[in-house]
Amino acid sequence: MTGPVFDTKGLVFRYPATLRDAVAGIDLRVNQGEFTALLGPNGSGKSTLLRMLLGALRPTCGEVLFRGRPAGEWPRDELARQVGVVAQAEEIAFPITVREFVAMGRYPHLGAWRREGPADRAAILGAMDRCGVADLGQRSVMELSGGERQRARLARALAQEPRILVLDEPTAALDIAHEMSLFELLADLVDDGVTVVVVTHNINIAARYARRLVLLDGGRIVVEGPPSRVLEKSTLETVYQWPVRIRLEDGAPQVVPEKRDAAEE
Amino acid sequence: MAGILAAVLAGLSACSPPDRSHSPADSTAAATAIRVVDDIGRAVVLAAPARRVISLIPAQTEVILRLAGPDVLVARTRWDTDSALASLPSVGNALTPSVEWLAALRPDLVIAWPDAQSRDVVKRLDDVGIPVYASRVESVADVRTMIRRLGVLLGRTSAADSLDGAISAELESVRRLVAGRPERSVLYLLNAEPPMAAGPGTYVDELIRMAGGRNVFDDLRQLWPQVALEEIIARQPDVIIRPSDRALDDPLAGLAGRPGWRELDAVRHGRVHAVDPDLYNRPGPRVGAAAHGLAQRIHAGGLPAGRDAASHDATARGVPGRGGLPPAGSGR
Amino acid sequence: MDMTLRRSALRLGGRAVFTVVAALAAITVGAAGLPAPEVIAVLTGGGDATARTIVLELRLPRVVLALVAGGGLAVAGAVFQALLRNPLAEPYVLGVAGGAAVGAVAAITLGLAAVPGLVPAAALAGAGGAIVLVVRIAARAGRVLDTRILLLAGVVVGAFFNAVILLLLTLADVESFRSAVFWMMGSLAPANWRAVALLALYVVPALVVLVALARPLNLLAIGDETALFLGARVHRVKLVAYFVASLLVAAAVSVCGVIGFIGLIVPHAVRLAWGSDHRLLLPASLLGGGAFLLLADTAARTMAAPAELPVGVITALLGVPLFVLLLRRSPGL
Repeated sequence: MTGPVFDTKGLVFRYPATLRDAVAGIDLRVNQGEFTALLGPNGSGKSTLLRMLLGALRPTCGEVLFRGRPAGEWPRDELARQVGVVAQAEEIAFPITVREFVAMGRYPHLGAWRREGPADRAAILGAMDRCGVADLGQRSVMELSGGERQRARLARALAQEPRILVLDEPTAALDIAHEMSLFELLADLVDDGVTVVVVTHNINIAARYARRLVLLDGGRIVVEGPPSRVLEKSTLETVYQWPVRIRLEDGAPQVVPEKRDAAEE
Repeated sequence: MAGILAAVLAGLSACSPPDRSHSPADSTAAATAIRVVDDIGRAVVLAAPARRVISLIPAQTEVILRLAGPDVLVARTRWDTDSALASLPSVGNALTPSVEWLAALRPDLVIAWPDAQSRDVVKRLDDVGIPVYASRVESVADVRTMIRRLGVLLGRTSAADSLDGAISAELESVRRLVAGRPERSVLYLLNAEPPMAAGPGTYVDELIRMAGGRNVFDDLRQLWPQVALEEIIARQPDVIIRPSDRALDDPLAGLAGRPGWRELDAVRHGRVHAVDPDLYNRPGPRVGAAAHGLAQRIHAGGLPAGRDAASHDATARGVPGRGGLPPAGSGR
Repeated sequence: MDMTLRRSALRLGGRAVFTVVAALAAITVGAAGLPAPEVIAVLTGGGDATARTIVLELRLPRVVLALVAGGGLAVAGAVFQALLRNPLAEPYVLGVAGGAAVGAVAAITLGLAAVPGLVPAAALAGAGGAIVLVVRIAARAGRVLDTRILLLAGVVVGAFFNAVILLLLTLADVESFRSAVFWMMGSLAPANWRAVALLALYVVPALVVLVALARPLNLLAIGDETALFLGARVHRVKLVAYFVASLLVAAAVSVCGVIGFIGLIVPHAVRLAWGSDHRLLLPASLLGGGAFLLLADTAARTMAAPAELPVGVITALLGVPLFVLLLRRSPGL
């Protein structure tokens, strides 16, 4: 497969009855095999951009091409066979088991009628294994801890056997160990050739794993590129309106926000 | 809502605008069959006079008893407690009878409520081939038509004629009794809280007129309107009639002490009377007694306590049943 | 999966057998007190005329109607719960019953009830009006078939219809009032073969469509957007499920009036026992709803015999204790 996975031109989105564009002209290209992290303050348009990439929102202006074809024109099941998504929030209305929950990832492959075959079972069990929820199969998803549930959701996305994985703040509710192991897993997937796009507020962890950062502010891309280029003191201080220090750890720039009194000196 | 339900179910057989026309005596004595058109325009055809009858309507049951005696009846309702019927199986509350139970008694005639033909007993009995006479009796004229038609169906036309004649004579005597007396305004208070009165077009409205009174709410458009207490006070009825299941020792009970009600002349001067609801909510063969009793109360003090009126209360209280009323009727 | 499939088939088979046995038992009891041998004689082509009438014209259509209507209501309830992602949803929550009642009550109070078949037709028309109205209001409010807006539109339309019903009842004469109140209480008494056939004619294809939507409905339980990302055509699934389930309710209500509780409690009972997979939940609700309404109606026509009780009273009186029992036996769900 050649050419970009996602390609947007002059992408604009404004929510009805609001005065400001949530996304105000974004040109973004994501290539196969890249590990991209979208960064930016709250309300900078990260999630809106993501939902347009996934064809869940129709752009007000401009367009999103997924593999050369407008995202909104793809049949949903065809899209879902290629793109796995771990969305920001998800509320389960009725109790189902983890096994059933992960098996939903096979929907785009099975449709409404087809029964699970050996390949489907292998994908489900493999995904559960990889995300460490293999032992939770018969538990109700509602009983899981935040970390377990997040891993089950990732397992569901992996059961789709996607070439592209999109995650919206996947570690927001996780402790250090869970957060690190999730990013380790994402790095492994990238090594296997999977394209990963992740929205996160954890700049430092993004800087250590993602090869490419995209910093958004006010619905626009401020800067993009490798962490060393994006995580620059004056840019970050402008975007986040907070004094920061940049340090290098294992060759990756790490952002340390200053305490107020230190900044005032 | 419950109040409306209670009120309307209490008035089961009263009501409907007075101009509703009924074709008079459609019975045609064919050579072989008895044919009568019922109150919803259906032809009821019997090969012979009915001998196994089930009446689901108490007033109609009373008429059948008077015309043909208890032997033609094969079942009764909970409201028919006449001792002559005590041994018959009871269908219970006759509003929602089991049709298969009725069918199993193999009746040759069933008298039933018309119930607007939506999902009624009439249609279902029709479906299984049991003759049904749908009876809708809402006025004095309806009572007399009903008596004559049942007479035909039972093969007792002469008994029906004499019963009708007796009613006619009783009503004539009431008319003479009240002739020339000043018209009194009457409030028929179905329910006190909230106040609910008889409107025009009800059976009791007709009785009030026959008894020399005027329904104080005869200008409203509803059959059983809910009215404001201040409107009652503004209209100052001369007499208040309260239908009550329980024998009220004091008909004023619950009224005299209440704010508003005590402003009424009728309450202050004790012109509030309790009556048996069966007799006034349900048009039946005792229409003469009902009219006489009402005249007695409306013109209290102005009329000699006639024999009919004196005996009325006793008769009324002893009357079995409450006109096919469901328990809701007692909820007030 | 094969084991799961076999287990599901066994469970459904067990339910089906129970339902058939319950139906046979229901035919042998009734107010007329026919002895069982006579009922069997009728079923095998014998019996006297009265017994034949009672069993074949009165009991049998009623039993079948209970199965079809109860099953339809339970399936519709399960679908509405998934559609609205709300365990409190029931078949009447989106105003279908209100619309049907307005249609029926209007027909009754306008004196059109004497025309055969007009009241059910008017109820169906009213329900159809409600279905379209709710969707149009929801669509106008922005995102089409947004769950919360749909629920809100349904509740608002339902409240409006209730007001219309009260207004119609206030203006009605006594006879119409009584008819209308009885209509709204719901009853299987009007059962006849024609009504059963008409209802089945709709319920069967509706079920096929809804069961075909079982997997997408599973996905809806974890959210519209997630379902979309998993490849479901969410908008279309919701629209089809909404219309088909609503029409299912409309068809049942137009024949039997408003019978409550089945659509709420049966799907929950199935969920508690067997989980929330709609591929099992929908057929199991069909069988469970049918059996439950059959049981309730048999009680309604025999408990106070020869009078009949409103079947909705029984569904609630029977359903609540059963449900509490189920809840206690299934902790943690």
